[in-house]
Amino acid sequence: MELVRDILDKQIRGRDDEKLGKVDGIVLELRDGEPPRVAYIELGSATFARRIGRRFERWAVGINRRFGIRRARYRIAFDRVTDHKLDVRVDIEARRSPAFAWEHWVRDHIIKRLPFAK
Amino acid sequence: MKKKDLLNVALGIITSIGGFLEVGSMATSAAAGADFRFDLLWVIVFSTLCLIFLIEMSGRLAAVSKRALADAVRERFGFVFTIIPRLLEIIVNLLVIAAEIGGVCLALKLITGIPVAVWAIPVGVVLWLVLWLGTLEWIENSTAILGLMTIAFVVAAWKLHPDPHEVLRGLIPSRAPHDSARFWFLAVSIAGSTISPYMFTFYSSGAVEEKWDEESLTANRLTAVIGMGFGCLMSIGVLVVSAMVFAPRNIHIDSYEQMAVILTPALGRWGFPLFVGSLAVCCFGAAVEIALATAYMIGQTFGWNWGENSEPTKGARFALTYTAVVVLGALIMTTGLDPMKLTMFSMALTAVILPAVVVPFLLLVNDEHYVGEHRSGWIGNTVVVVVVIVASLIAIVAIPLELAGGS
Repeated sequence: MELVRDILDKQIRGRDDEKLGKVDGIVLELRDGEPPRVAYIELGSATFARRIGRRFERWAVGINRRFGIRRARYRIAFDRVTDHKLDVRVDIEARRSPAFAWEHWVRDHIIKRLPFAK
Repeated sequence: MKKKDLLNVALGIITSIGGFLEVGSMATSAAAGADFRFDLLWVIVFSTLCLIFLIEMSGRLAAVSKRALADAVRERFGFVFTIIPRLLEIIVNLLVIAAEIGGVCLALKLITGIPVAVWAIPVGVVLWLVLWLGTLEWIENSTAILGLMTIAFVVAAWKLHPDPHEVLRGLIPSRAPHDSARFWFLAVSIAGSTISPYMFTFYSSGAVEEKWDEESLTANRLTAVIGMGFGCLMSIGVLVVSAMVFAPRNIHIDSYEQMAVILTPALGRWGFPLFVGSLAVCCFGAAVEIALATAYMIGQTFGWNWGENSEPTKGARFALTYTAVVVLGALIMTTGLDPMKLTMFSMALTAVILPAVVVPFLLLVNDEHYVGEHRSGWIGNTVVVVVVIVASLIAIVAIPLELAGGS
């Protein structure tokens, strides 16, 4: 497996086939005397903003806080990845995960208040 | 090919005929015909050839890799790389959707006399309701079938009996007979209106939503070639009619109001309603596609749930994005901007950004990892690279010259 080609920036899907987001970052664990191992995949606005610059990361964290979203980044343990051929599939219920915090916020604060919202 | 595929090809072709012509192609072709008679016909043909390759490529990428365009670009080139092309595309899409909303408002103004700026918000609301309540299939089929009235331009061109030799001569690339700055500005505006990046996003996203696979490749190829080929005929029809109606009278097209009589000499009292109907339906259809394409692109870049067929509460961020695009487009038109100038400028700007959007796309459809054995051939690659880069370079030079009014 090549981490950047096969994992980074790929679509993440939960066990219910819902889209959680993209793999915005990969967290490696360094171990004494052993090769590093992939500990987590990470997603969220703070993670992708950091790839542009630290200042953007601070902005992302601030915006999340302003809208009451507690976690600007969300880590998923790599051992929950079940497949990564087409998409990265994780053994997680997407809609109940913190990855859906913004989706729920937009739905509850804007979409549901518009006419004919189903 | 299966019966279902044949039906899909037929629908795809109708969609292309009905959906090809929008405010950009109409305005640029009419202005080109009025100012330079048939001299810019070759630009429509070359741009359509490039579009055929690009549409076929976007369908092939979706069918084989199961990824829509923006999705695949982010995955292959990474988040940081995608930011600039996506931002450019969002800016251009906002300008183009404003121009399309302006086109619908103008059609309404021609009927009622009520100014464009007043119609902008009501048109935006109807547009949003269609997106909010409709499904992808319903939207595609209804705008496509209504859009078939643009065939009126081809019928009018036929009835005006243009000199076939002159028309054929127009298909051969030529230099500007006079006013080079205007000539090349119109050339890149035609290219920008034909090779619209939102069309690849929309087409590839539709292919993923409709679950295309490798068996759909023949249908994809036929749709691209026949559909876009027929669509090109509509643009040629507008240019030829304009060249026959306006050029002999030395009328330069500076506003849509001048275009209102374009069909009258050929079609009599049916000319005006057919022009107004074509303008309204084509612009409305294109506005729907641009709003959706922008939402698809952003949703795919960030990995959200996206799809016109899902309910707004199931894809809340996706629904919010197309809502925002419609609101911003309508707001731009309330400022009283001249819709014709906005259309011409946004079409030329589209030509400028083409390489940023098309080059990564081209690399993807040549990457075995994504399209396996279905990589693009050298002819398609060459045509796309040459047309896109030449159009962009000319646009960079022609836009400032046009704005400065020089030649």
